[in-house]
Amino acid sequence: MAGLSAKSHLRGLPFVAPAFLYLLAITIVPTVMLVRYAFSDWEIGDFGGIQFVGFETFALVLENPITVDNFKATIVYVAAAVLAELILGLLIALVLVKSFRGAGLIRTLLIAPVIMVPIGAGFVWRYILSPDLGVVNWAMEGLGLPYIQWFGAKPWAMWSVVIADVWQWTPFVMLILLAGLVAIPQSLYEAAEMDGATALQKFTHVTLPLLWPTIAVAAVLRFIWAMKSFDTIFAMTRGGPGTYTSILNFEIYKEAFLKFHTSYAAAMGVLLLIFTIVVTRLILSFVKD
Amino acid sequence: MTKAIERIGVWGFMAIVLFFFLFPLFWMILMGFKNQAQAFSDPPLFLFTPTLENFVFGFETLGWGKNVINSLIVATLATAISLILGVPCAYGFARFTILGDKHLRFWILSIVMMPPVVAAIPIFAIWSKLGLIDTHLGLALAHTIFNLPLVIWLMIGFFRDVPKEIEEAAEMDGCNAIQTLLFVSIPVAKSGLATVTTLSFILSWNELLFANILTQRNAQTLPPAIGALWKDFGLLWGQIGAITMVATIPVMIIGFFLQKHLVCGLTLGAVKE
Repeated sequence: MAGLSAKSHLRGLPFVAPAFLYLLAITIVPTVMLVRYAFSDWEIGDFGGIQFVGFETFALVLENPITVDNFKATIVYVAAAVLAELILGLLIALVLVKSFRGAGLIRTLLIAPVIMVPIGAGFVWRYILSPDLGVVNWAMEGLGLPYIQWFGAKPWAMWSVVIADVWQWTPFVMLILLAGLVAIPQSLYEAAEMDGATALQKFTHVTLPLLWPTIAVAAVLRFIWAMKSFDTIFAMTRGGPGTYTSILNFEIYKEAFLKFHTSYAAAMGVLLLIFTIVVTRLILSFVKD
Repeated sequence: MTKAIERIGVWGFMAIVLFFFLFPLFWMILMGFKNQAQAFSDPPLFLFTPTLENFVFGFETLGWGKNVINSLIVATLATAISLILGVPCAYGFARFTILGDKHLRFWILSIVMMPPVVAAIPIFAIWSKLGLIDTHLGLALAHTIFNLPLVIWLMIGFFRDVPKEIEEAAEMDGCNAIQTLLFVSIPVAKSGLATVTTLSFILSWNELLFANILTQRNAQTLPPAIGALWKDFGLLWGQIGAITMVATIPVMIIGFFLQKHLVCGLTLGAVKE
């Protein structure tokens, strides 16, 4: 058997090797460079070699009060968006799983936000929420509701970008949860009914426990994706007012490509990588319990 | 009676849901057909004489046609490279045991987790040295960082669904491993291949961050061209609506036709139909 498996290793290798070497080159080289930048004070346009400064750049990042704001913004943005998407996505999935006429069409139509070009969607939302030209403030005025500055002021700027994220990604969460719901055997519900379970009991004792792994998958995927949010923030607030909606991912973009603080951005990037890995691990271990 | 109330409740809820998720698309279309005065009207206009001036100005003066072609080239290149490297790789993982394959697969998936902006910093420096800035190939290569792992990850699942017996029968008939892949496994897994092709294409088509950083005039794709309509003096709403339609409608058409495949792809294979 050992001989056979060794042969199998060799047979698989030519298929795997090209992609593997390509990915190695295109990810390891940049990662090494990123870490080198992070331990230096190098900026794009410096023609001299890289001067290493140890943890000095990291200290600069961590001592900067803006970094604390970025962390806060990231946590609020990601937590609010992912939570809202899970709840709303579950509600919609619970309705759509009862196959009624039009359910298929609704499901198809709901894919639109996920595949619409995100920067365009961000601008459309900015137009919709525009304080003076926007259709939302116009409708609210008609209903006698107060005028809102939306993306121009705290805390509404954060809710504006969260709304756009929820709009874009809830259908995605819904589709995952719907697939999970469909997979729950109907016989379990029938058995629960025989035992006289109410609708709520069926939900908490059958649906939720069996759907839990699917919810976890959706939560992890959305968490990872939300940490990388860029396009809608770029289109709606540019991280403003001030740095109020500047999540880490966006602040790194500003530092690296608008201010050209390469090493500073690289140090932030290393911190963001570590942060993402740690939180993903936390979610996964929480899910396993 | 309770059935009727339930039905009304369901339809009411669905009406609100559909309104929320589809209104921005409706508003995008109205935006695109408004002239500057109509777009800046307060209160917002629902009924107005539509104009094509945004599209005419965009294609004749701003060169949107070139942006469309650039987007097509970059998305096609990125998808082609990802498929050529990724499909055999996935086949290798699905079909053979490879030393440390679990770790390798996890490493490949973890690349998808990486925030693109973090990769963009060194990529910008390297691409500048290699002369890849503002080229189609440069942007397409950057897109493969994320599309290739996705192709590999999803195709492993699809190849595992191909019955082993079919592949073994082909080998009995004298096919070598490459022939088996090309003439047996790929045709059987063709709906999976459609999924990853669509997904890779759309991801690349919609991608903003790398496109913004790595292209200027020559290879500029649609997303940065949309971003460029935010001028210092304000936003050109009509043109933004029009170009967003240009960028969105082709993807929507593909998406609606291939929706089942797309759902599976978007959920990283968590959902299979």
